[in-house]
Amino acid sequence: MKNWIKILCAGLLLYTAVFSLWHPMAPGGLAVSVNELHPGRNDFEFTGYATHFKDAESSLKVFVSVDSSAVYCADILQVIDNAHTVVSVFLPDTISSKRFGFAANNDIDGTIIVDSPVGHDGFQFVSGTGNTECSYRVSQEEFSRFGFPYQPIIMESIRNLMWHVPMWFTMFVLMTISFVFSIRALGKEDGRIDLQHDVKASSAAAVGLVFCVLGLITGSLWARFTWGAWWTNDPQLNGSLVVFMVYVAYFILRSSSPDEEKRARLSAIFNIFAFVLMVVLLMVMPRFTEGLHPGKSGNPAFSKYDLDSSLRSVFYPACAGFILLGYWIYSLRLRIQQLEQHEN
Amino acid sequence: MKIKLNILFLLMIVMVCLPASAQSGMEEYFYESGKIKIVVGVASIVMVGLLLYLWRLDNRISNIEKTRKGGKS
Repeated sequence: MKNWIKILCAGLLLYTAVFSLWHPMAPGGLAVSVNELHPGRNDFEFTGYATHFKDAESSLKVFVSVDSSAVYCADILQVIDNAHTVVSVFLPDTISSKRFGFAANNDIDGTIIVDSPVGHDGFQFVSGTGNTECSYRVSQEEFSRFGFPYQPIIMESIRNLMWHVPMWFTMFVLMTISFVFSIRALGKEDGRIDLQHDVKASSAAAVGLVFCVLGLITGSLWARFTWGAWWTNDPQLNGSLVVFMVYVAYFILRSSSPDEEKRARLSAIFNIFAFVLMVVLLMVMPRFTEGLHPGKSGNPAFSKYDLDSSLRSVFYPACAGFILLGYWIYSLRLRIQQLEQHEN
Repeated sequence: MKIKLNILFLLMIVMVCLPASAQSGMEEYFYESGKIKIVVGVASIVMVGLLLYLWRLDNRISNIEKTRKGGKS
């Protein structure tokens, strides 16, 4: 591996380490301290995240929307700090829908929305009932600073995207290298097995397995903070665990035979099936089943909804950096194995 | 060599667990107090350590390979 590639790898990984943690989060609406709305005056606390309520107090406005037909302005009673403000809103007896929404707007943060369902009591529902006294902009484009997108539940843990997903990409690349060398090991014209290609295949699979473990660890930690459990019954999670066990079986199989040729032949055939199984379990199956991973119902990958340009600016270099790191470690391991072979 | 690769693996685990633990309720404290700079510093040092270790390992393997080639010829 050439030195400039190693330097590039180091640069990309350092960039990832710094900016995955340092980038600020875009502001968002965290919660409202009301469970049920009723006609008349409703007082509640609006809580934001990474917001500037105090800094932009003069321009702060809070709204309660009913469906998309009516918006009611709240009176600001007290701005506690940059993330908390107490407000009061007057709601009429007759409204058009049961779907309430909460939003705040100021000059620094733009419009932020709290997306949490609340109950209601005592309203009469008449469709077409609107309110033109108060209006607000629902666009979040007003937030001009560069920040990772605020998403409820995921929040700060979105930073793990730059570590968890590249780990799996790196594993895929290494397992593909392993798969190709396994085929090449079997494809000798005289019918014999190519032991050099077998060593390359096993080295790539070993490093790929390390990245698989790292992917499982980061995924499990992320699941704990966002889904509330270390492990859930998600097809992608279960599939990745099966893939891990299959590749562990590959190394158990390798250590089971003292005959080099026999071991190489058996493990090459096993590796081909393991790779196909990995593609089916991690890329095909999750598209046919419901799961907790982003873009459910047919698309387990990150989509336009999940991945914005601020994330891309760190995510793509992270993918390139980790793939290069994986390849670097693979080349080191291969060279160590080749040296050990020569010694024997 | 195997022990060194195990150390490398441990370093990588430490490295990747930092951002994965980001949502722990401490994040507001870290960002508001400016202590995130220390967190970023620690993460960067671990990463630099990992990369330097790999670089050194690479050079040592190259030296052994050169010695072997020299010995053969």
